[in-house]
Amino acid sequence: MRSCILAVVMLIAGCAHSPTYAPEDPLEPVNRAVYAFNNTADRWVLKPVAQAYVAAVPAEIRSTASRFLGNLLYPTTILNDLLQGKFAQAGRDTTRFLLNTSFGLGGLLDPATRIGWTENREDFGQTLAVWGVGDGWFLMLPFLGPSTNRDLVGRGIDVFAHPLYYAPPEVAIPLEAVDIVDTRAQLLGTEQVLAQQFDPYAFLRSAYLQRRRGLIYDGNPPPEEDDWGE
Amino acid sequence: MTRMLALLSAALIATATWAAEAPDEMVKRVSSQLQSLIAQNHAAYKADLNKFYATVDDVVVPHFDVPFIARSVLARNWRDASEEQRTRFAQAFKDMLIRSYANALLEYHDSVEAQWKPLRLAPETSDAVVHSALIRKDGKPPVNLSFAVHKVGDEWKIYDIIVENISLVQNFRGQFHAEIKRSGLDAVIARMESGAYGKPGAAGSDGGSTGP
Repeated sequence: MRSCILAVVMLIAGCAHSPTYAPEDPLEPVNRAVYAFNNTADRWVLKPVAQAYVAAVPAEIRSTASRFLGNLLYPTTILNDLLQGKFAQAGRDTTRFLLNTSFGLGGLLDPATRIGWTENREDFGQTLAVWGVGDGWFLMLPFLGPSTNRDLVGRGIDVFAHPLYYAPPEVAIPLEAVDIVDTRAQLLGTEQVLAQQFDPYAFLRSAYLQRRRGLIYDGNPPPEEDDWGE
Repeated sequence: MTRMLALLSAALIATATWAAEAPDEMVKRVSSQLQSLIAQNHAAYKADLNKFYATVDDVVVPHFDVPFIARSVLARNWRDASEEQRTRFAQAFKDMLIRSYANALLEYHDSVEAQWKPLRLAPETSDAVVHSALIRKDGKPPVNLSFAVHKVGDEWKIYDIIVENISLVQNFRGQFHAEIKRSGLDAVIARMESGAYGKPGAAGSDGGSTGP
């Protein structure tokens, strides 16, 4: 009886409560604060460093570095191919990795793409999604940017598949640093797009969640129920 | 009555001209038309952005279902909006999109090439998606770009653009909803009409909005 009353009260409370527009983001106030923090950190540290990197290092060397780091990380993709049961893709990705590591001189070149074996992107966050884990909440992580509960766990697991995790720190730290700066450098110019948005935070949230959805379904997500609330 | 007649004949002309054009043909034609216009008049457009805006308005916009886009972007706020607000919103939103993408178009028109994917169109369907991959000439991975189209009368019109699975309409819907809740629809429209939609000084606008 008591639980029945409770249920009724909750039901009424549920009705009275106006539905939040972004149910995927219950931590919005915190996330927005972190977002503001990240922007400040970016403005004063990461962005100037990335700009200096672009100014100092010729484009050809920068893309070589990107390719090398991308190849280094590729076993993560292969592992997650397997965990998602994509065996054919795992085979192709393994060949791609071997090809680029050997003929591509350790990943400095990318012969695989030239012959049409394009790069796939798989990570443990996507694997969890394929296994049926939902997004969870949207999260804005300090320094790392947008994520979700699931993708945060995925990131944590992926660390163990990263070769640099097993490398001595004097190798790992500089390479990791170049990776971060290089990633940021590739995003230079995109602030323009963000700055022109009505609400850059809402833009980023929506873009992140939709982009992840695309990756999880390898570019062919089932159509979403388009609820206009009418 | 004359207006009715004018509308009717306009509709007839439109039908006669475009009835045969498949949606992917339309998207391809319009984008190559725009691309060659940019290639021809690049310097002139750069010098006078308003000229470029007008060109986009003439060449591209007629192939978009602007009222439908405005409605789906406003979502539940559409219901509460007056007729006048709806029209003003559609106009301002369209202008905002043109302005915010014009620079990117002028900047990058030469560094990408669209590769169109074959369109599978079910018979009698009135809804389709035209897929393409933007091949980047610098060798970076291609960007997936799709256009959602539907039939308006006999003509296919674009009602959403999807980049790497990020839908333009969905993205703006979330933003507008938050903003309308905060400051009201009229304020949002006014902000769009003024051209100052990026919030200078606010979080995330460190790129420095270069006003029109």
